[in-house]
Amino acid sequence: MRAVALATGAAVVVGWPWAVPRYFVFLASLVVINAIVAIGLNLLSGYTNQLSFGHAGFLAIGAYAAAIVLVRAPALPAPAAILLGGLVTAAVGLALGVPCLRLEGLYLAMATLAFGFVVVEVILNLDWLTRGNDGMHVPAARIGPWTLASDTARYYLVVAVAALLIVAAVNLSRTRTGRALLAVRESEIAAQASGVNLAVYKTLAFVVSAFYTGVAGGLFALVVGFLSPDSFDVFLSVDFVAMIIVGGLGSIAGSVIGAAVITTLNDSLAGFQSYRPLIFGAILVTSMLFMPGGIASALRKIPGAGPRPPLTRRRSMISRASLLLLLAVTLSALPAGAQGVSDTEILIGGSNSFSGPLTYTGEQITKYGVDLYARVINDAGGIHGRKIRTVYYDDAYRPQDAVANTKKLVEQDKVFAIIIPQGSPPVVATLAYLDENKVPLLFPYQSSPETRGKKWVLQGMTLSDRSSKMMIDYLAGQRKLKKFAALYQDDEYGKSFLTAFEKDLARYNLKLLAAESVKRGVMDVSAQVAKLQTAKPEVTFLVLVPGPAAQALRERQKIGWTDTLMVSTGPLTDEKYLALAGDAAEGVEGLSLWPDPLTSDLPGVKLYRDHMVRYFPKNEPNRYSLAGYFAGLLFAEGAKRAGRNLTRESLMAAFESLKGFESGILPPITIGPDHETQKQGFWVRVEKGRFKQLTDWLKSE
Amino acid sequence: MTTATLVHVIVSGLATGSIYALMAISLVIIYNATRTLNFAQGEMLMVSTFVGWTALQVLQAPLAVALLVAVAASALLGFILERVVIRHAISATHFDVLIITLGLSLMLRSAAGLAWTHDEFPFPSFFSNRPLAVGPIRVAPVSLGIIGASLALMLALGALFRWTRLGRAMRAVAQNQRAARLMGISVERVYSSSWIIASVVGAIAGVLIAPVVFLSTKMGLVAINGFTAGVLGGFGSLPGAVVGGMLLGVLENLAPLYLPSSIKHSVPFLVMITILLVRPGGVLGHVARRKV
Repeated sequence: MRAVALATGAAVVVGWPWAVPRYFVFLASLVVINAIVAIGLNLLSGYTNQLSFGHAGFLAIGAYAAAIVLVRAPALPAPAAILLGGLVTAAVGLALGVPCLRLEGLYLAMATLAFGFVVVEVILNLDWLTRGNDGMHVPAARIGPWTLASDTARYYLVVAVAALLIVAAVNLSRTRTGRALLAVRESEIAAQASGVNLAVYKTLAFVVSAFYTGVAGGLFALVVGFLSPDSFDVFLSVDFVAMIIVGGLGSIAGSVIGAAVITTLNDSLAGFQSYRPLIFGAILVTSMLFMPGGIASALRKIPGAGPRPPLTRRRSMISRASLLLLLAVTLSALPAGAQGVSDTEILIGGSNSFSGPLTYTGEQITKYGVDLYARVINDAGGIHGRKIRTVYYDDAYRPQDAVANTKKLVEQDKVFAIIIPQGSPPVVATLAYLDENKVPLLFPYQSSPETRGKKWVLQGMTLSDRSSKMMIDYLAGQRKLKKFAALYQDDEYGKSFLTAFEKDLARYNLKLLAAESVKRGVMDVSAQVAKLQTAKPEVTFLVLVPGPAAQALRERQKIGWTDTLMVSTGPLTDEKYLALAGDAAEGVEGLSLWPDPLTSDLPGVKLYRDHMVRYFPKNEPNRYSLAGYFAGLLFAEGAKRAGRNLTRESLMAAFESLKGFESGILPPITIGPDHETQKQGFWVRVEKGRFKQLTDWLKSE
Repeated sequence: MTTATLVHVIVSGLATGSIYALMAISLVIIYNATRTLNFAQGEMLMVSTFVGWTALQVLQAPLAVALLVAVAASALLGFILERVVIRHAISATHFDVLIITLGLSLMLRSAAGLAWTHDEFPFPSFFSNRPLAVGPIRVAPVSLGIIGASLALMLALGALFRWTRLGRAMRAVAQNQRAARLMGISVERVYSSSWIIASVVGAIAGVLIAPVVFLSTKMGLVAINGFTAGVLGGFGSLPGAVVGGMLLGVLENLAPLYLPSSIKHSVPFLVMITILLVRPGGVLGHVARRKV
């Protein structure tokens, strides 16, 4: 009986890639990776009662260690790199575990939480090793002569490693060590009285837990193919904790179930966009209210399940878990036509932020931007008789979620093209995959030059090096200003501008006098502003997002610092930060990439406002939705020119032949070999709370 | 760095620190009563501030009325969440309650986004942003106002805990729940009151900080700093929460002044790890060291 069940289980796991669509192979890999982390975390929390909120940190260490080794020594077999990642993480676990022995409960949770933040900071600052904010591409793994290039190959690697680790964990829990750990959980005093060396076993749990998570990290690096500090935020640690609590503390099968449930849930909810956290939260709350102790303990309580020997119970739980999984999979597997173009419809979509730090932008560029134009053109009869339909998934600004969503869009929904995904790390993480599958990536809303000149990419937002060139040429060239400083956001966006500023200033034999960074979601910028003031710059660049930028302006007002010109970058120059800063914004200048969405008289912008009033009367016009609207407009233009026989190739060819296209919003667009659609901006100054245009469109060639 | 700058940066840090302290206090109040961390504390602050702001917009009410509306909404929200959700799970393990408050925080943030969008909004302040010059030193009334208001609130809370029946009951439950029950204290009432008081403190903190960091669904993230502040001061201790908050606010501001940029953002966390390892009970705490 047991052998039959095990054999069935093994057959399902092995046959999985051949029975399901490609996307679910990738998803299954993620589930299994998370299951390894959950088992590792459960060995710590479930067995010795030490709750950790820092396992995303361990995952990051394992992932980066394996990736760095693979970059430096490409010939190394993948399992060796993964093992190395695990060992490095275990060593860190030991270093953290020993001092943490003195902490318990809440204090341990806080210490591990802090550890998670510190790991991300370390990754950011060791940028010579980790490429910091830019993120790191992980080379394809090799085992001997084979390259693990396909999702299926990587899936088998993940499953094989997981099988080893699960067997090890099950065996560990049945040995003297496992029983000692359980004894520690039940009562530390009793365990000690029975001769269990508390310090040794608690440290051991920490080390083993870190090892499991580190190995999972190595697999994560290979499966996702791109690492960035954004992947390992504190919410990922919280997800891991949710997995073991929902699954059941102290149960290995529970860890697997919890990982499967949370991962598939997160994935199938991505399509609910803004509702995703609401539904996810509601499920967490109700499941904990009605299933205290998690799924594992709820299954144990099912009448008829009765007091059975533990082995049978575990097996039946695994089969229930696979049932749950299958259900989730069939729920999210929707039928779709080929390649996203039918006789009546064109399907486009993208992964974007509908939760996380950039939610507002994400909602505006998609639902009130692209969709606004789609409604306009659909009501006018569509493009060659085809209506535009859009589909978006939430990635919460995490690269791994963006990869998962993009695979789902291409393989499940079969979208024709990806439109306006947001943020450098999530977009860059999907570049290789989209190129390999020859899917057009249209107008990504990010400013890292990595997207320039790629065959299947048409860049949207003006890239940071072009913005910088226009700003420095105008200020140092035309206005002859000499002393520059910058206040920048400590991420990819801020750093790419900083590098570009330094390069462009060097052309004028100038340097940045000072540069200070602020974190996203900062509470107080007084120290940074004070430090910049001591450098006495004539010009202070603000490379920030609206909130912190407005804070910086108000801080300047607070200390009465008047003898510097504050200049905002292209992505920042918008009405929002004017509104937030109030009278502190007076006299601020900036490079504007878009005409004023509220007041511009350009015909295209007027139309945009009319359309907004008609379709979304409650939504105020703003630069984000204008950018999305423009993306929709440009796509429609390309699709129109490609004609009735619309293919991905004909679309790209149509775009490449675009010359001097008048949109009524931006200057005439010609798409050259660099594949950039936007290259210009104009200078503005804030006068009486509004942007006043000071120059015509500036050149960045 | 001139003394004037230093004073300004420290005062600014104390203002932020006051908010951390208030956040820590509300977390500690709930922790003392129910031994659980409330992950939704920050989101409750955010939602009540949004409600107050709506009163400003819709009723064209003065700011003081908005504050009252925010406080009332917050008290109601705290009461309902405790009665409807948390109390049902109180017999379960603390881990379960942790996940419940986590779920609540996701729900609150998402619902607030649906109601008010995830945009950022300016929020009026009781205090001016223009500097007051005292000799060479410039201080912003907004910083002083936040510090003053927070201190007043802390004193009121101190009086409540020290001298009122409810305060004594809350302290008794924090010390020993079973003994408190045996002494005839209604532990359920203490749960309820703790959630209400914590929510009210949060709402006031929200209205104080919204003009500085602006009103948005991201505001709730301040709770993370509140956790840190609580741990710095020794979780469970109210004076500790105040000291921890102020310490964190000032440290956060001094670090960028003196440290290279590569480590300055880690300072709060490094300090926390260090304090946990050296003085696990926090700077004011006196938890007995365990030998293992």
